[in-house]
Amino acid sequence: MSRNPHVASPRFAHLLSYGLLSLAVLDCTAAATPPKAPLTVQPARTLPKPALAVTDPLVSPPPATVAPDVPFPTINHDKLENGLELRVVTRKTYPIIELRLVLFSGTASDGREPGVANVTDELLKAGGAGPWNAADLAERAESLGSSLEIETGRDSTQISMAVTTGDFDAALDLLGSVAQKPRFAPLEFDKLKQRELERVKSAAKSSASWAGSMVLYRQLFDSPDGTHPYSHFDATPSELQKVTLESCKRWYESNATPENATLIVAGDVEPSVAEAAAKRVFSAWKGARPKPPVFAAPVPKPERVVWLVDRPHSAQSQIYVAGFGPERSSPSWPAVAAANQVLGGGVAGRLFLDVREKRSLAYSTGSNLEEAAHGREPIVLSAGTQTAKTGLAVQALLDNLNQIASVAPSAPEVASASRYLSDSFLFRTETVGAVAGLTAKLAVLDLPDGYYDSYRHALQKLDTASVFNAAQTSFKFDNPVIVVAGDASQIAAPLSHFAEVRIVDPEHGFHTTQSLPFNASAPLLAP
Amino acid sequence: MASLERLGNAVQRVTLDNGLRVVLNPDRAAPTVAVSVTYGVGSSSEALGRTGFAHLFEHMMFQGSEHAKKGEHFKLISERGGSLNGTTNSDRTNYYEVLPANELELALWLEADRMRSLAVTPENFENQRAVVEEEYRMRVQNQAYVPGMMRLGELVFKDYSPYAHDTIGSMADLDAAKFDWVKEFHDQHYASDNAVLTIAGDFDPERTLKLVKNYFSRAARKNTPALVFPPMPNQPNAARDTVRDHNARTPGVIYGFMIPPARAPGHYALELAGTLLANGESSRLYKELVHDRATAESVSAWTEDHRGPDQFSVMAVLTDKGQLPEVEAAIDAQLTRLRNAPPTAQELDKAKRQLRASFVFGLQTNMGRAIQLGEFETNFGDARLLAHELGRYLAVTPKDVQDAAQLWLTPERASRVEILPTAKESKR
Repeated sequence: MSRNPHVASPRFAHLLSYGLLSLAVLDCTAAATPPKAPLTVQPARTLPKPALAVTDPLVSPPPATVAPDVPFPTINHDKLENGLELRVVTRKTYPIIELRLVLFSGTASDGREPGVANVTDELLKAGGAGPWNAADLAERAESLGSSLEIETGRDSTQISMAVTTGDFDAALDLLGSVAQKPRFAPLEFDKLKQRELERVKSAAKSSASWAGSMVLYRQLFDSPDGTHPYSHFDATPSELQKVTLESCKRWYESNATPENATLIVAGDVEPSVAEAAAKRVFSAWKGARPKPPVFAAPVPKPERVVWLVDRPHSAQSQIYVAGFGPERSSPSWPAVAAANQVLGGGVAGRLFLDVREKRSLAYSTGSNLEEAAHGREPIVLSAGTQTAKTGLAVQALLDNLNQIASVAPSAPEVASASRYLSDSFLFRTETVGAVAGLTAKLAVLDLPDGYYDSYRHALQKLDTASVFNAAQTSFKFDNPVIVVAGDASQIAAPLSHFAEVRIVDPEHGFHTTQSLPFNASAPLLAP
Repeated sequence: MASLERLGNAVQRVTLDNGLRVVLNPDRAAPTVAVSVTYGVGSSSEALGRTGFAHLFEHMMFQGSEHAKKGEHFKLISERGGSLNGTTNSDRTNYYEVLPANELELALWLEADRMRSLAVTPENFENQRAVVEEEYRMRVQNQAYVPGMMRLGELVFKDYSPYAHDTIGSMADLDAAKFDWVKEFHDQHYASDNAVLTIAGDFDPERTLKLVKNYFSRAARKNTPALVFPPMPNQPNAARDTVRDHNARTPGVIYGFMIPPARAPGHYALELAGTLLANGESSRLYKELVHDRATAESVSAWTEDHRGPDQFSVMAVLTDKGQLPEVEAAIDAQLTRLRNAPPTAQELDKAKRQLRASFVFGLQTNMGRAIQLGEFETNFGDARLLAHELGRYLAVTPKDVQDAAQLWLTPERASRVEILPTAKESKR
């Protein structure tokens, strides 16, 4: 939920060109779990010499070779007396340092106040901190050529800055103030709350993915009392209205503590320098680890329902089909990740090749195996399709879901998926920001330092049988959660082909406004 | 700056007999390699009634060639641990792959095969026309404020045909397109002498150059005519319009000014002016409209960086309490302030530091360098210019910013689009 309303200089950002793939598709491929960073580079085992151009050199592709086995960079650990853990990864390729303070509390710690974690996190910066009011804080960060970024996820809050080497101490001072000495200025709270209200009201109107996700996670993590920690993707306007300055202060006091935090420093810095700086800035911070939320198992769906988020006049429908895979700590995780890659991970996945390239039903489609710290992990298939063909696209997703769970993947599919997931670590760890992010992920998911190496090696050993076993277990959803955000007046009838359709209004609290009974004979193509 | 010196010292340029320009940037920081082929064709090369063709080919280029059958490009790159994409803008189209360094040859093979023998078939055309139309629904018809941004481009460049339409083109043109027209477009523009091959990352330059010659030498030169841009119109071209937007919840406004091309005198100062206006929470418009008055949800300012005449844009999306006249008056006042007084040295220094960080961070990856080097070679004739680019920004003075604003960001030159939400539908 990190948001930056500003546009940087497009010369370097390439914001305005059209791409073959949407970022969503690329994100899907990235999400299955990233890999290693290159400190010591071993040469490839075989590198064929170039053929002489006597015959056409393009007749057949060059043979595959073996990628170097590059371990994830060493993580240096330290711990301050107050409980704050420090993880330092040194990489001196560029004069850049990434600082990331991870609090192990995110939206799952909202309790009965959806939105309080996100508002509090934003207020740490927006309310001013230490010697700086809000304006001075922004001025100071941007004068370092950086910005203070705060991201509130399900399981963590991450406060980060990326700076060039010479500004390391100044950046850490800013980060330290934000975490330890927020001002909670009442006027700034009022302004922030109003901005947040505007944001979610606009998202409800303008964003199909936001509106669809609000319903998707509410349905996936359904619980008898409606308070599963992962059940809210974001807060609704009425929920945000209830967040007060006092509730933000309470959340901060409980969750922003050194025992509940880890500082990650990656890039052009020696561990001893980072450790001394961390002690200088954070030693006086006090506080105990908070009581964790309770994660009850979600209630299984007794019957299939299509949730239709009404977006009048929408030219396209955003479709989600979802269920649960294994827990993140499961030994079958590499095999499930490979099965997900076969189904919908990137441009070689079945969804891309079938739903987009063969049936021309979508520009963006894929399957995402999510990673949360507690419980079974959601698997979410998605596609964006034109209104008239929404029913056909839902059918295409269900067909592919059924196929992956019932028919063994081919050996080339498994080899391709496992090699992609394994070898792509090489370029997914090129930047210090990526290394910092992966190090943070280890901390949040409570995985050991050597996890990425063992994961990669496990991928390399997968065979067809193990991937099929994992697919049969993890992709056979009894009643998948189906959510479609689109124009209800056009697509409700075709969607009734799959199950009862319940239409909700995203601009009015997602209340159900109408329902259509299941009608198996309803045509899939909208008139 | 050390990283830029490293970049400048490590760029080699070679031109093959068939006109293909090759840019090599060996850098062993990571065991990966990025290959980018930049074709000097974008939407500015399209004729009236045949818009969207350059972007269509961004999709068609992945539909197979003589030896890489349909879908194989995706499969081969993925199964060898790589990633790929292609992008189109007004002046160029690029295609790139990032792979473990040991798989460099695969990327060269795929790019060479499609440069020489792309499968431009009616079947592939129909299939990808449908995908592009789906992309249009996602990126344009389903996005708040985007139709307004596209309308602004039409107003700013209405008498200047290369940039008078958006890169994704008109769906009416795409629907009406004949296969022969599309094939003709390909025959004109996709050739070795209209392309730049850039390789960045962990490779041996001497051996790689041999591979490049082996794979690419048979690609045909087509003597593609060089892009020639008509002179920039002298007269101000201001116009106003209103766009109704059913995806927008609140009104928005976008200003557009025709400005000199990227890298022309004044452009660097204008880019820094945009940073002062709206890049970051300490920028002038953010502080005033988003933070202090709470009349805007977001503000932004940017340039498109065309090879020909460029566009400087300023945009604000309003809050519930924001009123268009008030927000527009504030934007007008901030533009006047830019014209009336130079920024302080401290404020300009902050903008330069933001830009410097953006520049250095953008060069971290092999892919980032391959794309930018290819773009500089294609658009400006020499990839090595990239290494000196940051110095051009750092040399801008406060007076340069004021002078550029006085010359180009004047009320007479300002086109403006107001975006209004459609009236609330009655519940059905």
